[in-house]
Amino acid sequence: MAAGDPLAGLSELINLLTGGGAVSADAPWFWKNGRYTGGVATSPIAGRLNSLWQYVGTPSHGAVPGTSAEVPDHSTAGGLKQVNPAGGRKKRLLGCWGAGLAAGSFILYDRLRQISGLSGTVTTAQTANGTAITRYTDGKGNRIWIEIYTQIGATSQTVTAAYTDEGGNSSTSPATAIGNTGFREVDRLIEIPMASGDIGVQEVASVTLSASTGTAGNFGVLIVHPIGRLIPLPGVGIGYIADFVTGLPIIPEIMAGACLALAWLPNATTVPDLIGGLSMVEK
Amino acid sequence: MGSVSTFADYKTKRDAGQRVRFTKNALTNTAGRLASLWPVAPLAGSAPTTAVAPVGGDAGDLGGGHVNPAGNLFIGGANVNLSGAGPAAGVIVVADRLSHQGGLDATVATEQTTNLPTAALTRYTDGKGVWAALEIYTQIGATSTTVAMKYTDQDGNTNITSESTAFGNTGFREAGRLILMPLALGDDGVRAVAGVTLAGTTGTAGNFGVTLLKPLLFIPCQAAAAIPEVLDGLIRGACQIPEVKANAHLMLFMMSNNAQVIQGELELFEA
Repeated sequence: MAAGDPLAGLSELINLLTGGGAVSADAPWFWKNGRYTGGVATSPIAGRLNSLWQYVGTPSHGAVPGTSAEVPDHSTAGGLKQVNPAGGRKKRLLGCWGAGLAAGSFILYDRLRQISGLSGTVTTAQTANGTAITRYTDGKGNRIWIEIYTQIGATSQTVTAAYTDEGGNSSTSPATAIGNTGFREVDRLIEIPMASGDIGVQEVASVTLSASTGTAGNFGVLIVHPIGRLIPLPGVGIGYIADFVTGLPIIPEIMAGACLALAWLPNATTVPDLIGGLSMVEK
Repeated sequence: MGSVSTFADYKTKRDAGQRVRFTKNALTNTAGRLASLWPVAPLAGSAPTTAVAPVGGDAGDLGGGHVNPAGNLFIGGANVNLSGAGPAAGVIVVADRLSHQGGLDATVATEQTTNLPTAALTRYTDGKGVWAALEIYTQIGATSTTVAMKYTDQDGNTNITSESTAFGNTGFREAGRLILMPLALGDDGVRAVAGVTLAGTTGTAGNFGVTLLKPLLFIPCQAAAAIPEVLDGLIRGACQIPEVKANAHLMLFMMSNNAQVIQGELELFEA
């Protein structure tokens, strides 16, 4: 068996979990406090995706990205700071767990690229490209998310993205809502749907608003790769364990350099505090 | 480092392992908030004063302690039952209590260094993944404020000021509350805490202290009384088979919506 080979079976898994591999099993825990630097986090929108990137905790929060596209990695502040695989070994996620102050679901994702500084009042194409992504470079399964850092305006508009799909073809997304209540708040994540037939994103060239939302604010564009599935936290203080050995998805790979981060899909407007963790091995 | 080579070997070693049985009396907690069971009887720890790095067998060690084997020790599973009037589901976390101190005053709004810095870590000495918390031993005041700490991070950088978090008033003042301290941008662990600063008085001195801990095992618990949560670390437990370091001092903290008695046991095995 060579580094990077698939896991051979349950015995090998146990061996890796109990220190039989080149490196110890990795179980990074996380907790998020419903606060930013200097104050309480913005209330999330029930049923709408919310970013936990700026939530303080351990490991620490992340900073608002720069205005030039950048590729975050395993050492970027805001990520879950897992041990990076080396020596040609692959890192595999065996499961995760969580509980919190509010009911909802969290999503683990690899934050492939980020940029901020886009305006909620500019109606021409706003550049979102730059440094190419270094993980999931074929684009399959990658998504485009808008992430709001400073609240934008109260006028409902739509946004489209010009992107390169998984086949290397230029595409334009369908329009999706942006601006106004539920689509303007700090930490809101707005997923931009893909054009018919597309299953992924290699690059995002620009985003364009249909018209001004009324307030510039500050928003950015992420290219992300969701890992696993929604992890439900069914109620206040009720924990959940997601096992990826006996359940789906089966032992997904965590790419070398992955910037693992959390998104939150809330049931209500309660600012969440969360604790949780991941279980991983490397071979 | 010794390891388990096969599933058959794993079963044999699990069968030959040790069990740490524990009971903790009911502790009233704030829904969705963390509470420490370390000071809860039976086999409670006493509120610390001077900075100490607790080890296995010290007062408060879960279940009175466990045997340190010659080889490496892991948690293979657990079962936990929450019971009492109106039992509610909750979460129990097993952690290694690495360092603690007490005697801090929730009316002092300048930096407090009493009984600080925390005692040097003897396990997880690089501080990576070590959490810092404020543990309230005697209820503090009803005035909301915030608190921050000065600490040494996982890279050995000193005198770093943490992010602030809520302190005092309902949900943040009760004896037993465990208030995790958020780290500065870029950090993911703590080696030591040198000072604690409140933004303002909470109104009552109470008694609280700094605890450094490493979370090990996450156990979600059922809502119904007398129905234990049986967690197998390997099968459907997200492969939670954490190592228990030599001389570990195990504790529980919980996120529970009700005051309830906690009974259970950990299964430890030697690799």
